[in-house]
Amino acid sequence: MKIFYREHLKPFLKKPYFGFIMVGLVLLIVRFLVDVLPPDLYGAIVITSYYYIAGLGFALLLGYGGLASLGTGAFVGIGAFGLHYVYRFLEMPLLVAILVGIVLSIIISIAFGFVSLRISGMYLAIVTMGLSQIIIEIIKNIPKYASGTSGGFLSGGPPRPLVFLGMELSQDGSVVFMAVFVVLSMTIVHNLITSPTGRALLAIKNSETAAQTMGINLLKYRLLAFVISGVLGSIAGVLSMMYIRNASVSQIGLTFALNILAAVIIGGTKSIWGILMGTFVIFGLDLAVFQRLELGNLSLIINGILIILVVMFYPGGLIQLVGDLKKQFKIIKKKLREKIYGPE
Amino acid sequence: MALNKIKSLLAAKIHGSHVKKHRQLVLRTHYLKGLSQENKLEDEKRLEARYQMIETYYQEAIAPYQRQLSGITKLDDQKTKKILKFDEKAYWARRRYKTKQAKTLDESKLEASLAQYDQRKRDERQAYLGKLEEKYPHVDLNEAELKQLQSQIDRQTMLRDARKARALAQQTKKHAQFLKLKTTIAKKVEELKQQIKLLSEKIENYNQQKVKADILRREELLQAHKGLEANHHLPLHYKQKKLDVLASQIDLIDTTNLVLEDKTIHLAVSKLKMFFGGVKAVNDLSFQVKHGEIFGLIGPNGAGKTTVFNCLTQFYKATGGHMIFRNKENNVVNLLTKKTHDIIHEGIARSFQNVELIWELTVIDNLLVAAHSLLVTNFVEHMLHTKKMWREDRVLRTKGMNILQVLGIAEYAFRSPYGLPYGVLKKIELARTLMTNPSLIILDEPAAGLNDAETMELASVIKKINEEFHITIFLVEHDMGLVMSICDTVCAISFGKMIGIGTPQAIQNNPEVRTAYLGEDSDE
Repeated sequence: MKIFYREHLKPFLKKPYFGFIMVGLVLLIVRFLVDVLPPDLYGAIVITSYYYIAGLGFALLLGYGGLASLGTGAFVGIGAFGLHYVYRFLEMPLLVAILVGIVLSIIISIAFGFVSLRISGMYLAIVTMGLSQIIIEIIKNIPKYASGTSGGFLSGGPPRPLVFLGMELSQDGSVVFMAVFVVLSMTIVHNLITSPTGRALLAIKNSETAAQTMGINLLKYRLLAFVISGVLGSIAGVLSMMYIRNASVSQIGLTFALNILAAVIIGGTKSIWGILMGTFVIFGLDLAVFQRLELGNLSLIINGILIILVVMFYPGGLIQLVGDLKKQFKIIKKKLREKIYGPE
Repeated sequence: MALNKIKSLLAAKIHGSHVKKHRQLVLRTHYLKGLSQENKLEDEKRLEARYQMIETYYQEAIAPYQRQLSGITKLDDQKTKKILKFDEKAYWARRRYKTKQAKTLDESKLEASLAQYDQRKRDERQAYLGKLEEKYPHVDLNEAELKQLQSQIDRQTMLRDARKARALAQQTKKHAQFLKLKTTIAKKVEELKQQIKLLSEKIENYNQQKVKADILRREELLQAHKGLEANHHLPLHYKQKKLDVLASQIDLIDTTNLVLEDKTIHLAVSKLKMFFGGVKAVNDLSFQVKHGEIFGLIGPNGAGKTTVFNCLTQFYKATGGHMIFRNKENNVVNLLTKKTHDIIHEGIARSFQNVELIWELTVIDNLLVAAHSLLVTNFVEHMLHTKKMWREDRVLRTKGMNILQVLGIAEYAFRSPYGLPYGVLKKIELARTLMTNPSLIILDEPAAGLNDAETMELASVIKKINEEFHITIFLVEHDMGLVMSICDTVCAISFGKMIGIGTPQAIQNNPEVRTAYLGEDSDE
């Protein structure tokens, strides 16, 4: 038994995949505890879980590719409105609708990638912002399909129930989808960043000239980063649509892109777990904590202060704080002891 | 005419695919060879590691029984535990008492009070020990119990032997697998070698045919050139442009043929021009680098040395001239037609004047980034973390460690390069270039920022690389000592023009070079 634990179970528990699967399990448990949990905490967890997917994609761009793009909102919009259009108006099956959203986002992210080859830094942010604004305007101006500024299964017309493999999906049922996609995207991002591809992206971020002399094709890897981030973004959009059953153009604009940026920076641009924390701080803390303490009006201010504090004192993100806390805990324990029992 | 053109284009296309395939096959052979080596190492170590593990399990399992056999019963153990707990409690209580007393009493009184306290506690401990003795009396084990313990130990021993036997069986099985794999890999390598040989022949054939075709084409171009020169009706600037284009084409054919025919030439630069607006950074520079030599490019500041490098590695697109290179596949290529990230595949690796490492990665990971041109896996495999990716990762890691060991910096392998001494950073850059299996290394001021001792060491390392790995080295350097001591040929340039080429002695005695470095001797 002991030997089995040591030889088979322990190595598995030490693997990062175990942690990812645990996240999925926690989401599933949360889904079955829906009647027990307070609704705002439940909502916060679900919102965090699907925006986390978009955050992961963005982290691949920012933390590894060094590309500060403000176009995440466009991909979330493509996912949400694409699902709405293809599922409700073209009456396709759900999986086809999701696939169409992904393919669309791949095409548009390739366009983003081509733009990024010539420019970088602040200019890239501006250009991607413009591109995403164009997409949002397009969505806005096809009111029949996207229901104008807001589209969803609830607004306008007879609603079509969300059916997957003959089963009707409730709002909570889509949390199962979330669990699956969160585990998948965490695994993919983790795999990529611990493989030669991740190293190549880091090389491009650090020194383009050195990367090129080592045979790294800038265009290829930038396109790859954009495509993966776009796909993950659109999956986040699809999941948000499946859960909220409604989408609004105002939610996917510049504010959203900045929120994702803030989430990734607060959490730590290069850490998968850090981004989970960052996303929760930005998207979930308001619902889960501030509203309960009746600080809802102040939540933006508190978030702003948090961002400033983290950027000033923890440039590596909240994940750095966790490591520091572990160290600090020992020191504090020692100090406390000395205070109670006196010096040696 | 048109048909001929299509034919030649098609031949060129096929030739290109041959070269590409040759390259991939060579990469695969390297990978398979490395894998075979790795498998061998793993096979040798597996049984030993397994035995060691089984032994530790055994020791851990029998430790409590042996304690009991040596006379310490379970009750004794419990007693010792209790005593230790009591002692720890007493220690903290004493510490607290001492601090408390120190606040109110002065030193002499404190000591007396502490002594009193200690006496009291000692008595307490005695009493406690007595109580424990009653509660957990020491009972010697009887025969039956001893026998049982012995049997337990025997059982564990048997278990261990069984495990070992199982491990051995597994090992023989795995060894058989390994041998099988080894033969398949060897077979595959042999097959690949055959294919590579075939492709090499094809490439060689094509090049030979190209020489013949090019001679014909050269004649045509020469005729056209002459005809154009005789034509007086054209506007002058237009005519000059046309003539230049023709001359450049003739020059390209000449240089290519030169490299094709003379197999000792590794790189031929002909009439290289690089203009930045009106500034002529490099103008009409021609030289040849031979296989296996150390070629030095020197010149005063601003002479355009680094520009030459940047033109070679295609960071700058040269304004005019040609750079013909005999690559790893023994194929002759015009570097101008290549992209920056393809240069490494041809076999040219470069280092930078100011170290350009990836600071976020460890030293060994930096080398793995450099191994990017050697990858046989693609990004889908990276995304799924397939077994092949891990095998390749292992092979490349071993290769990187070997290179670090050769250069004597293996101790830094798992550190971030951040904060390492400059000499070590330069060596890491060298290791990075070596990682890519190059045939020509371009070093941009390798000794810049190093002290004398470090420079001497670097010189020996460069010499070693040149001799052991049979790699041609092309370097730019300011440190004349280094250049003169290690270079076989030195080329001196000033303001983008060549002022001398030859052995180091010849360059040292060249009056023009002296003038360029020291100025005119007008004062004397």
